[in-house]
Amino acid sequence: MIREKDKIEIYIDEGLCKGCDICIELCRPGVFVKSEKLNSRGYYVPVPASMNKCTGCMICELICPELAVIIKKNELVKEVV
Amino acid sequence: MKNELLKYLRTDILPTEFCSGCGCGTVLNIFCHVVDELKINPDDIIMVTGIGCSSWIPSPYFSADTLHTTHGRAIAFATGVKVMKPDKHVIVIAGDGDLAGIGGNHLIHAARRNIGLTVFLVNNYIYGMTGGQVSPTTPSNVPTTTTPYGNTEPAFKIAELVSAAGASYVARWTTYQVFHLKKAMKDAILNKGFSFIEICSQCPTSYGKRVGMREGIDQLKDFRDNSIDLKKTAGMKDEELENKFIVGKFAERNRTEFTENLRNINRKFDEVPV
Amino acid sequence: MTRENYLSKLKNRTLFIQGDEAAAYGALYAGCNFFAGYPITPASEVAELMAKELPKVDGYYIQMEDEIASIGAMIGAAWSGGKSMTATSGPGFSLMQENIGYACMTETPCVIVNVQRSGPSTGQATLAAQGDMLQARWGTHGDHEMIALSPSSVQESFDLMLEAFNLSEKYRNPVIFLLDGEVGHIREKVVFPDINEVNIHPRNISKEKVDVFGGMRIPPMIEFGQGHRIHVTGSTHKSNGMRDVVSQEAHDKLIRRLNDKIESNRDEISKYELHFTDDMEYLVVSYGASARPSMGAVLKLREKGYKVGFLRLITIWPFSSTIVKELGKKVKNIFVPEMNLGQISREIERFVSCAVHPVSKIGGVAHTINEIVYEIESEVKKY
Repeated sequence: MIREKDKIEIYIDEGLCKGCDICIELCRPGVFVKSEKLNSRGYYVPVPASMNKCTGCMICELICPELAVIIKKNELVKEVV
Repeated sequence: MKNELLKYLRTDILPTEFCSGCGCGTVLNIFCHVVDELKINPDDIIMVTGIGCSSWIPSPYFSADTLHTTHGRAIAFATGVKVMKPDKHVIVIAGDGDLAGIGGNHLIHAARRNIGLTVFLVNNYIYGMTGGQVSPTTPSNVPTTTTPYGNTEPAFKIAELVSAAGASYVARWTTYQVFHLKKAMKDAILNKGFSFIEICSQCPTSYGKRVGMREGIDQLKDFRDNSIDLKKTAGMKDEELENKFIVGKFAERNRTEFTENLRNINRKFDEVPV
Repeated sequence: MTRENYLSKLKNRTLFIQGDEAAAYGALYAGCNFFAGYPITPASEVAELMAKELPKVDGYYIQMEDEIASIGAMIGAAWSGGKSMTATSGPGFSLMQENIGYACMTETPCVIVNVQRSGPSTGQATLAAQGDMLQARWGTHGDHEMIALSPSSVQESFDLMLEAFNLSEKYRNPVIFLLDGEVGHIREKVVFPDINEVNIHPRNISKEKVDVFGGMRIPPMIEFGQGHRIHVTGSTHKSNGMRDVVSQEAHDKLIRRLNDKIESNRDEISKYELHFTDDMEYLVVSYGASARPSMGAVLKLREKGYKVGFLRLITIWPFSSTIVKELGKKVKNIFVPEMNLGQISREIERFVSCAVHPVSKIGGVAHTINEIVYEIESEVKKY
């Protein structure tokens, strides 16, 4: 089966992140994991480790209290399932 | 990569001074999305705010004309602004202590007047900035620094109160329901009369830890698991609604706006001799 | 209707009106276009006249839910291009104090009328007093300077209101207009001037983005809604308006400038009237309603052969210390009739070495000429 899907990229602005884990915990498909190393301000920032699970729902971008999660939805790509 | 929405903020003072996991940042974030999606020029926004953590959302972070007033008086100051600048979006963001506590009188009178302000009340259930004293929205029995044996008072139901006072638009959402909240913020800004959203928000530092929710995410999960749609509450008993967050749209009415009424009086004198 | 059309119709007219109403007309001449108030005796007549007349000059009257809201709305309007005023009496003036400080801190031009009645608390609501002279100066918390004016007649209530607005614009400071229940409610003749002959100090508004809270002693203002994204706060702030609440230097610099802009112009702001001071041995100092019987007493005492001079204070704050100091050197005694227990009398003591005698009367009834004559005569006879 071939379906069309947004090509989604997630960026984390490490300089703004305060490691509250809200994105990690509220992402239903579980895209994020906690980074193993601290950012410059001493927080463990999230890493979008499983991008293939991302549905592009945007909750992480909208709910981030620091505007540190940025979602880019680029051109549609065809994906073979 | 930087968030494009940072263009709406005074970026030289970022990151914010909000605690990790604080809901104020989420409100700021969604507000930026709303301004962007409605294509409002920030030059056409005048932010008015009071004292407390949530008053820091506009002052200093959101980059527009900002009037950071005395405690509780944001709506009173905003009334003067709106009368003189009726074509601008005059938006008040402040907290429960500010708008429903010390400034409660201004809130209900502005709703009665139906002046075209947009008010986002960030309800974190506590006086956060001063270190966690009981507020008019703190639920009964909750221990705070000034109710060490548990809160002996019932809490205000602010959205219901403002609706009863006559506001044009009233809604309540939590910081968990980000999509509903975003839509409601748009509706509120576009509404010409007094529009009001009570935003239930997490305060891990001064409130959450007193009710067994030490992290912001714990309170967000509480919002997720215990919110109930206003439409589904008909016929439900008070006991069933205890500790629930009743969310939804409480009022949407067509009433003439206050400053419009004032201007209509002035027009009567345009051609008339003294 | 334009303000010009409205005022051209008042030109050279003579009305028999109350001091409260004259103050309101003075405000309309000064260009006041926003009034927020709350009813209170004996100041309600100011609000009532503004409610009736402001729409005729395309201005706005709002009755707010209390005096705190009134002064708040007024400050908001001032930053949005309005020339703002409110009017109240003692209890309302007490409620306004916090935001009077906000207006000082944010350098907001506005006029606050206090038609004084007997206090403290509800006191004698319908009767006159001059009990808020020091509250006008020191009522709000923190170090600050204040401008306060006090008229003695209905015509002066009109004239001085123009001055009140001009001073508030020139120095970017709130101005307290200290009427009293006596001058506020008395009816006298007022002759309205030609608006073209009235001096109006325009607001110093910058079209460019500038520092609104520093850089010079009295910086220009910026109006909301012009795209400057200005930040106005009652917290200690830097010259660009952004909060800086922990730095000792920032607070010191700001507060000293705010005080300095009034203090260094003390003599320019100070207005007073002198009578018979050339040959005087004794001096009477008074202001507002009590200046009227004081002048009568001075005339009567001079008929009796006492060399009494008279200083009528028009500007109350900043205090006219230069002239008081100078006159104090020439006399043996200073008498200060006032409708309180010696508030300005105490201020005079700070600047003179001669004896200062308060001639106090409280209870809502003004001094009679004979009461003042008696008090002064019995004191003078001791020497």
